[in-house]
Amino acid sequence: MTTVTDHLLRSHAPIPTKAWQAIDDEAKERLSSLLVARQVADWNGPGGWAHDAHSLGRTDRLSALPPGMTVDGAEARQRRVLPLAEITVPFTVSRAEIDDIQRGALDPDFDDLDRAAREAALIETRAVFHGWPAAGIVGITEASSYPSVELGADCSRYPTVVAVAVDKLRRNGIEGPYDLVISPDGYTRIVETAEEGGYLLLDHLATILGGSVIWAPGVDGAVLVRRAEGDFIIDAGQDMSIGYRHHDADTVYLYLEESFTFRVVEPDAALVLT
Amino acid sequence: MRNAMTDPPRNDGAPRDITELIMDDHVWFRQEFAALDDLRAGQADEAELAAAWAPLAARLDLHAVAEEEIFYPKLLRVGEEDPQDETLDAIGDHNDIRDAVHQAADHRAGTDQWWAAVRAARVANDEHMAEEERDAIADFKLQAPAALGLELGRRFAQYLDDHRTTGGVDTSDKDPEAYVRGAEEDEGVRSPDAGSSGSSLGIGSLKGR
Repeated sequence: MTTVTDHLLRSHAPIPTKAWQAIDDEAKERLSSLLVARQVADWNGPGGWAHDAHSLGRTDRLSALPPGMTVDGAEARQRRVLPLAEITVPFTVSRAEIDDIQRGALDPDFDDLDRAAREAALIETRAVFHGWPAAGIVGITEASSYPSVELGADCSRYPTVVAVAVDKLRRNGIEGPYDLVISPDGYTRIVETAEEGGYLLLDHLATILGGSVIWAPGVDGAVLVRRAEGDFIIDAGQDMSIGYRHHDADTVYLYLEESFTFRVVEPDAALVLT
Repeated sequence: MRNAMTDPPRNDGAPRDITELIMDDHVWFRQEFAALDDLRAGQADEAELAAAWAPLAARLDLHAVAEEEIFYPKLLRVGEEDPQDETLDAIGDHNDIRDAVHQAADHRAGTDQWWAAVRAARVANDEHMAEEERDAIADFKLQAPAALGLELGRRFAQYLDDHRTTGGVDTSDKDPEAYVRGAEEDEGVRSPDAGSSGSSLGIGSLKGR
C-alpha cells in the first residue's frame, strides 16, 4: 500500500539503519537550535505531506454561478486559504563516511548536511519574520501595527529602548511577558556587555521583558514579541524530513524537506526594532 | 435523587480544547449510565430503556471514532509518555466498548442479555476513561501547543455535529497495532521505508525552549 510518506524514498538509499540514525540525529540537533521561529510561533501540525492549506475561516463572494445557471436568490462563495509552501534543500553524504559510521566512527563528516540544515532553517525563519511574498506569507515584521523603533548598536541605550517598546505594547493592551528576538550580532553585543555594578545587560533586559532574549540567525535587527498563544501560527504539513534523490559510486544525494505556511493573527503583538 | 437522561453535549461554537470536549463526553457517559440505573430501579419498560440507551450507544461509538480520527494521531505525534502504548490501549478499549454496544443491539432492551451487554460496555468504558484521563489526556495537555488543542477541538466538535447517528460511520473494530502503524505513517512519525528513525525528524514546536 502506498502511503503519504513514500515520496521520501528512504528505503531506496544505500544507507544502513545505523547511518540513517546518525544522519537524522545530526540534522535534528542542528535544526533544533536554528529553527527560531518555532520558539515564538504556535505550531499547528504536522498535518502530513498531504496537508495542503491553512484555513483562514473567511470567504470571497463568487461573481457568478456556473455558466448557464441562473437561480433566484442563490449566492456562491469560495473559501479563502493560505496554501502551504514546500521547501527542499539538497545535500550529499559520502558513501565512505557511511561505511565508517557502520564501522563505529563517532565523528562523521556531515559538513554538507550542516550547511543544508542552516539554509533550510534560514528559509523558515526569514519567511516567518520577514515574509515570503512568492509563498503568500506576510512576516511578523511586515504585519506589525507599530512604526519601527531604532535600537542601534549602542548597548547602553538598549534597556531604555526595550522598556519604551514594551510600554508601547502594554499601553495597547498587549500584556507580557515578552521576548526580544534579535540577530546574532545584536545578541553577541548584549551578552558581552555588563552595566555599571557588573549587572549583565542580558539579565537586565530579561527583567524588563519578563521573558527572554532569543538568538535568532536570519532575523534583521530585532523584534519584540508577546509570549502568548494564538498571535502567530506556523501551519506545518510535513515537518523537517530527509529524503533520498539518487546515488553514485561515491556519494548519496539527499535533501531536507518541509511544507509549511505562516500567519500573523495579532499584528499588535510585535514591534520591530532596527 | 434520580438522574434524568439528557442529550449528548453539543458544541456552542466557542473555541474549546479537544481535551475539554473529550472530558465533557466522559462526564455525560457517567451521567447516562447512572440514569440507566435509575430507570432500571424504577422498572422502566422496554421502550423507555431502548429510548434511553440509543443515544448513549451511538455516542459511545461516535466518540471512539472521533478520537481515532482526530485525537490519537496527534497524540502519537506530540506525546512524550509512550504515546504508542497509550494508543494501543485506547484502541483495544474502544474495541471492547464497541463489541459490548453491538452485543446490546442484538437483544431486546431490558432482558438479562441486554443488561449484561450494557454493563460490559460500561465496565470497558469506565476503564478506558480512567486510563485516558490519567495518561493520554494528561500527556497531550503537557506536550501539545494550545493552538493544536483548539484546532483539534474544532474538528472534534465538527465531527460530532456532523454525525448525530452512526449511519455511514465505520464502527467496526480496529487492529490496534495496524492503527498505530498507519497513524504514525500519516503523521510523518514513522515511515515504512525509513529504517528505525521515521520519516520526519520529529522536531515540531520549540516554543518555551
